[in-house]
Amino acid sequence: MGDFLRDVMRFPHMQHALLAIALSSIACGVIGTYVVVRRITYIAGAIAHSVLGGVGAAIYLNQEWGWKWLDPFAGAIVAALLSAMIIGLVSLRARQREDTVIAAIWAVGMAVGILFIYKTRGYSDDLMRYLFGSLLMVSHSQIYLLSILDCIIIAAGFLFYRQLQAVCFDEQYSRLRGLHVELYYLLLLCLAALTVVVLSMVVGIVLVIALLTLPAAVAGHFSRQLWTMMVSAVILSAVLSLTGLMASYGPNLPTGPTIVVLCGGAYLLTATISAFRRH
Amino acid sequence: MPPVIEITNATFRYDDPPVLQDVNVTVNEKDFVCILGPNGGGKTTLLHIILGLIKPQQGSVKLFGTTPHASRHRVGYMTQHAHLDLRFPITVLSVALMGRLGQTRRVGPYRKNDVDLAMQSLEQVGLKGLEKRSFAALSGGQRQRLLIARAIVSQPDLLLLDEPTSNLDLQGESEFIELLKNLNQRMTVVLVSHDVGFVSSAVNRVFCVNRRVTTHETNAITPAILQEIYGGGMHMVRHHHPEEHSHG
Repeated sequence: MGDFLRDVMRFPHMQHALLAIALSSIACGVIGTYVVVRRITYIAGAIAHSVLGGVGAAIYLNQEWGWKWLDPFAGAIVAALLSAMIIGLVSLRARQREDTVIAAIWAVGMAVGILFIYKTRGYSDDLMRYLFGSLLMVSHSQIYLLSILDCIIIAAGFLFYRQLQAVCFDEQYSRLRGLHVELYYLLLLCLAALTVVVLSMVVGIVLVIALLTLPAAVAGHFSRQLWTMMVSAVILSAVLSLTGLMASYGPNLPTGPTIVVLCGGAYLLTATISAFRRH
Repeated sequence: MPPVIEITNATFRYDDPPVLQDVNVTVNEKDFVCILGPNGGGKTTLLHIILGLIKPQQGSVKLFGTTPHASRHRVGYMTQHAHLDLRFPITVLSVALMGRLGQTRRVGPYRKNDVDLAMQSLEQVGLKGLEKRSFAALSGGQRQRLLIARAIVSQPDLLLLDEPTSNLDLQGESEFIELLKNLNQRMTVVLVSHDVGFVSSAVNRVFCVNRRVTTHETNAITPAILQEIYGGGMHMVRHHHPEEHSHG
């Protein structure tokens, strides 16, 4: 604990890690809440895994083709938005095939990413970093990127709160009130995609769904309104991530998995308590 | 003044045979219509046609003399509450406010006027004082009333209700009918039910839907109506009914 605090004062990469936690928690709480109440965790999972395809392609182009301006996270954003749009349009147009498409994007996206990374010289070791997170390697420019994504997510979440709430609660009724239900569904998927990219910096692609949904699910046990659920989820996400970072720091454990295990523990605890309360 | 609902020669099919065939229906101002029929007979399809969610392949549908889409702001709709997620974190007031969507500003929070209207309609259905309660904490009857409040918050001229009496007890049901009777003084009411017991003194017309639609000008269940709903193989226990019913 003392070591942790001393290193935070001393090393910029520790300060970046703390900033990344603060920024990602905002996106996580707001969008995670929508994902949980609209029950689209699986879609978020598919988007998360497909992100590796974009990351891999960006790294390959960066190293092998000399596209030095291309950041892996730019690739991640493109891949995430692309798969969100594909899944969204398929689920709106041809409902019965939705799960097949989700599974396909999930696995194919990952496969493409692994192939690209494998063919990039000197980068195959980096695979683990993208899969399981590297909170201590967040760069200065990535903090800027995080801030911009946060602004977009908060603005959209605030401006369209009523509509997103209505569409999540009662889709048919919203349509009859003249809302463009399809448009808001696609907007929600795109916001989820951006959030997935943000969170993958903290816990990595494979573990993103846990951080996206578990703090919101815990908050859901004691929230009576959507916005209070969001606020609680933001706080929970920040506390759990920070605790995870501190707990993993001393014994030199991987940070992402530590955070996710803590989230799982918190969820199990509140689920048990609320189950007992109901009896 | 054009009729509230006017459907002429409408046929709708997902596949063969058609779900609804040659439907001719007229609903006038201040009517209280009960749409009855067996499950799978096309009741919900008829309701969706009136709402403009689907279009019949043949025939025409008019609400207030125009298309269902153009008259959406004059229609209040009560969803079947079985479709809703009871654990959704939302308050009573927020649900009622949804009825203002499409009639208030497009982005940002609701206006004070919206909140006032929502509070008024909660009061009308007897939910005053519960506006901060969570949706999950309501009883079945209260939930029903809340969905009515949401449907009437924008002061519609036509109120459509989909299976409103499912999971209500007898007490709740009679209170509910009283509420609808009151609303009927201001607006046309059309409700869908699979429960013939719902037809009461409040109703002035019954539509029987079983692929075709027949209209009965009545407020009581007659042998002819039961015959249409349940088919010919049924034996009636006949009490003393002086007159035989004829199709309207």
